[in-house]
Amino acid sequence: METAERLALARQLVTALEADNEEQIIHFLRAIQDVRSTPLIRHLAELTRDVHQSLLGLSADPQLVELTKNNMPDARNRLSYVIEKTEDSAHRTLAAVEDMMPLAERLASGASEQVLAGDPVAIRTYVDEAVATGEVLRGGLTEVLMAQEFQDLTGQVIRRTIDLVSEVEKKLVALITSELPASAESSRPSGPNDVNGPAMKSDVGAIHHQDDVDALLAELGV
Amino acid sequence: MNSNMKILIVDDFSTMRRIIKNLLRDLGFNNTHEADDGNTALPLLKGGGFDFLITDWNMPGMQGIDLLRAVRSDPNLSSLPVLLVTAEARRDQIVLAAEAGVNGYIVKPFTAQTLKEKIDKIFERIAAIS
Repeated sequence: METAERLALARQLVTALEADNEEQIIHFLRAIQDVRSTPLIRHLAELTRDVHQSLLGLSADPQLVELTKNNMPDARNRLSYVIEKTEDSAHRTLAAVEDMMPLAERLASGASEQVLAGDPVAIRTYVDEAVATGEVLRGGLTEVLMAQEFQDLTGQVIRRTIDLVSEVEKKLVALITSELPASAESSRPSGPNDVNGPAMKSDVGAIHHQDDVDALLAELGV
Repeated sequence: MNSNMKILIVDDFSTMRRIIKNLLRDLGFNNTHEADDGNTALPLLKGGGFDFLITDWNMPGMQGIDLLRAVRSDPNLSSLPVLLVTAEARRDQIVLAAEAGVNGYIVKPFTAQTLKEKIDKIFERIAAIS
């Protein structure tokens, strides 16, 4: 609306006010209000239509259906696996340390006065004990070493989850900007070349024990 | 088995490379080298002198299965023993690895004992053939 038109409306309102003409006052107030609200209403209508169309598009997008129906619960499972693995690793490490600590203590303070005085029998006993303790400590340290393998497995799982979150973020951004991409590459069946990361208990078609892997390999002649 | 054999460990996670390297040292193998995916591993292997390859499957860049195929198709490397140590555990994947000519397959998480057994088995077989 032109400035001149607005000015005219304003003047007409002032005239009506001065004349105390109730009917005219309301008429020109409404007219002035319409100047502001017409584009707003039009804009709201457009937004509503966009959101409605986006929502329709969303329900028809197989990738999004896949994300909500399967990938999200799957990510929850996998994150629980991360908690399980890290907890397990912490316990294994702590248990090994608790087992080794008294042994190391005994080794450090176990040399009796006779040993220090050079008594050959006492020295012999001490050395035998030290060798045996060394073996046990080596086993314990290997346990601590193996307990660190969780980082590789949980790292793979967390990477996948980050990918999923980015995917959901992209979809949400698309919804907000109403530029929903035409459902491009949707869920495709996984082939042997696709990687999964560590197998979850619920994974169908996954082998869960090394013995079963060995049996399958033997069948295949490896 | 030659305890001085040159071994390449390929995994994108440095923690796993360290674990395998330490386990190998415990088994008496000290001549170990590392790479973080197939693309960095292949030039090292082509550089020569490696007796054994231990590789992960799932890595950014070149994956373990493709590294295995590249090794088998290279006349200078084709007989290199390859052990896959991977979290990938689908039946069809194990079949695929076997078809590509893998010598051993360990599913993570694994034990020190499993690694020792598989290495022993691989070299027993090679000794039996030659």
